[in-house]
Amino acid sequence: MKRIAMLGMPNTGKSTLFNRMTGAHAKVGNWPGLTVDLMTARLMIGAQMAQIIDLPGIYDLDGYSEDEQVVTQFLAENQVDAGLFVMNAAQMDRQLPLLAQVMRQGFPLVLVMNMVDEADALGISIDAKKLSAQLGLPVCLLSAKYGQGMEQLQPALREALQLARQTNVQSVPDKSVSPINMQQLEDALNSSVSVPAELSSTVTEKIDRVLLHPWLGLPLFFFVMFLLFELVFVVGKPIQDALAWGFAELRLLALEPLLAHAPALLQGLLLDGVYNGLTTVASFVPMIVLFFLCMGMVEDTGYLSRAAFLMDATMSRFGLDGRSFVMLLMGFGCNVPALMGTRVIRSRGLRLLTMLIIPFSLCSARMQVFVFFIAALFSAQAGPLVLFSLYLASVLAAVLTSVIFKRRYVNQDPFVLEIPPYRFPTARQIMMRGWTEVSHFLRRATRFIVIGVVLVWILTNFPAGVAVAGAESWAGQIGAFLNPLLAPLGIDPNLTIALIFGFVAKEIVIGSLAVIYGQEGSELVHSIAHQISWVQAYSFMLFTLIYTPCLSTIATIRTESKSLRFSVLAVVWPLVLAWLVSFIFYQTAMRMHLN
Amino acid sequence: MSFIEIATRARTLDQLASGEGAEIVAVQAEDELSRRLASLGLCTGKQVQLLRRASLGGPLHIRAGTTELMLRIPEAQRISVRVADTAIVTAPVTAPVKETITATDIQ
Repeated sequence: MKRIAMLGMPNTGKSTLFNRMTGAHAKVGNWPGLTVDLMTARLMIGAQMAQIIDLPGIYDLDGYSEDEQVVTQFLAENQVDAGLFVMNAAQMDRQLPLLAQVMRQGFPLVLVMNMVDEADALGISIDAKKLSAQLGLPVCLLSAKYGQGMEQLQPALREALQLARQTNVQSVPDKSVSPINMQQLEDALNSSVSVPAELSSTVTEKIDRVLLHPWLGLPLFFFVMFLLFELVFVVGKPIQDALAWGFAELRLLALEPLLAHAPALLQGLLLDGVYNGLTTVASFVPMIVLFFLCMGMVEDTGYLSRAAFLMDATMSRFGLDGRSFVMLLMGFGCNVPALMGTRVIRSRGLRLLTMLIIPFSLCSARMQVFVFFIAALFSAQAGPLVLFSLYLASVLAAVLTSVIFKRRYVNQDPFVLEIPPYRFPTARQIMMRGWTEVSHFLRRATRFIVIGVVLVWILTNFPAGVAVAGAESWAGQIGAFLNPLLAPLGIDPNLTIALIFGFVAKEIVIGSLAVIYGQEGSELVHSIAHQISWVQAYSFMLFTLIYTPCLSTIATIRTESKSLRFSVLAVVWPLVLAWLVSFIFYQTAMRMHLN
Repeated sequence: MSFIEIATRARTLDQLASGEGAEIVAVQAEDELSRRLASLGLCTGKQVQLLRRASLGGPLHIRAGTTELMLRIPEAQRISVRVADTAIVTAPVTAPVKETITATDIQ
């Protein structure tokens, strides 16, 4: 099978093009020598099957950032038959040095001038035929976002693969002989591309005047984020309630009669264990989908790099930079991709410090726990405010950690970042993105949840004959053992069990509570509202927010940091901090008789 | 042109006023940083414009060609620029001239 590598700078729309070319059939693959996963897909080029690999966006093939090393290593250790070099058609001049480096690699290239819609809007005109003749490469002018010009890719790639077959014999790239130098590249560009001398005032400029306003910028940003959470809550909650009701009815009307004659133990395991656990989690899926869609939209517009601009001065006081803030925001979706996103940071100190604070980001799995407790113990008016306070607590925990550890992990990285123009994602992009995120979430969740809820059911129902989740059950014994430690935080033995399983994945917490209480949906909400006060619930939420997010996060920290000591710190420190924060909150609230 | 005139026109990127444009005359940075700057369009001979500064001494918002980027003041200080004569004429338009306000204006 032929192998085609996609190369280019960050923000050139490589992944959009990859998705457009391959549909939703991409999967992650392992590569020799690489510790990271790359997206790959199969595609028919003419009559032969080819494999397309989406490499990380890089500035320089000789660079030292992790992403740049990933690409260099990939090219060194894998046979590449053809390359697809993706450029942003509106900003070609600065991408030439990388193009020259890639051309020197020796494999046939296809040059893609992406974002031709943006270049048009700026009044930039490109003579693709002339450029192609001068560079000796097929040039495709297209817009991956809108699908315009995509038909040129097939013939261009066919031509490149044809060329690959002919040159395969002497495939070792000869770097000493450069087929084309920078001067020739610049001449080719100058003669076939015309950029207007004076750029007209763009929409981006007008929006930036408001959103990057020296004093209004930050309050506006936080207001937008607040609106986003409010939207997720207001739209998502009724859907979730309806689903929970539907699952309860299904159990009552169909499953209970169906299993009426099964042995009691099996009935308990299937209904109170697997079904209650799974459906309680499933009812939260709409909320998660909404959250991912909103976050994805904000990310695609380019507002997040503006957030980095606005927050950099503040973050630098904590030993971080604007990028760390953006990673923290990305972590609101899921901590794992945010941790992997730190690869763009070259300074090891800053990278470790950022990796230490990302797990405090209130991820969607934790949000699901909070939404449940907020619905049980707070009024509809107070709900969004309570959730927002938890987001604030999440940022505060991150900042505090950073202040404490910034002398240990020193930042020496220069802060230079592109600010892309505002882009409004198409419906197609939003749907694709939402689907990818949700399917990742479901895969992760189902793997842990089924095992988790079955384990919880066993712990709460054995040794045989004890009252479910009673003091004599295994769960009760563990709870009693840990009680001296967690009682000062207002966390009762039942919640303790949920916390233990939350260590594996937060998605299990609500599912395990459903199993512990032997109830689901609104019944479960009722029992919990009767058994614990709002102060206890808030203390529990603070602890859930701050302590270890999940096993996947720990595993990612371990592989990304390549340091056992750092990984241990990343587990122990949040546990200590969680205990302290919950302790201070609960004890203060009790003294003030807030119960 | 006298020496003093040249000296006042040669400035570093962070000394530009908001909205002011200039040409890069030198980039004093080690190999890696200078390549990173070049890959975002900041290299000798290129036209740049300072669009705005973030508050609290935060990063600068720069336009270089059709690319917009942000960089912190220490990095901007490594980039020497020369302000074109036309830019000097247009620059003060965006900057309010406070010195001209006198007691008689207020009355």
